[in-house]
Amino acid sequence: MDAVFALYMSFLIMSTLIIILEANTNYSDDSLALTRLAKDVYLVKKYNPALTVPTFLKTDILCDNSKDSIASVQSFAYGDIQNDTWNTKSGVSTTFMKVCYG
Amino acid sequence: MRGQLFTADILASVLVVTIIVAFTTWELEQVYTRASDVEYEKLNSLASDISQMAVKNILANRSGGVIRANWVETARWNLLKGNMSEMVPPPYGYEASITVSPASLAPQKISSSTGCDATKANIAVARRIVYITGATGYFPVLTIKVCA
Repeated sequence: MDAVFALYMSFLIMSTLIIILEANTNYSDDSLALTRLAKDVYLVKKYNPALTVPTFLKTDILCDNSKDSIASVQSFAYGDIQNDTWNTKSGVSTTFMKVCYG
Repeated sequence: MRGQLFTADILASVLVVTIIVAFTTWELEQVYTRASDVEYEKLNSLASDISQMAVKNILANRSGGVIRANWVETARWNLLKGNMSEMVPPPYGYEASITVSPASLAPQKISSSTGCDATKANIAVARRIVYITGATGYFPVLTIKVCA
């Protein structure tokens, strides 16, 4: 009985490990796409801040902890853009862009 | 008493063996579906990389020798078609489109001869947010589909 129980427990532990590893693989694919979209939003807003981000994507405070995947990028620019919401220090502007699927 | 213990051992063993057989069957099924997943991952990487090249270079607006990433020049649309035909040869298919919402500009679309309709077994999609001169409302979306 002990041997059977030990075998059963080993089987359960190995199964759980395999499932966790597979879940982590799927997550990384989503992150790359979201990170690129975050960079896209940062760039296109420089060209025309008046336009709205498409409905399949949410940004900033709309990406709370309830979302499965959130990507954020931090971008630096040297004195080429002026915006009151950015932190300006020694001519270098820093901005954060956070996106998630809506 | 001895007979009861033997029966309990048999029951426990059958339970474990049944679970192991079920798990093995499930894993074997996963091996077959894994082949499809691997192909999807390959297509997904291809679609993602093509979209990156399209918005950063192939379709990008040029001004004074400077490339404006993500600023799509619709006059360069045919250049993307030529590049995609080389990067996604048959039997793979592709589609590329730009949707502008609301429709302030005419949508653009190119595709291989077979396209990527719902009959394809594997379709990978990469979406990118871009800017087009004259766009209003929402930012246009470039959608790249690669299928097999």
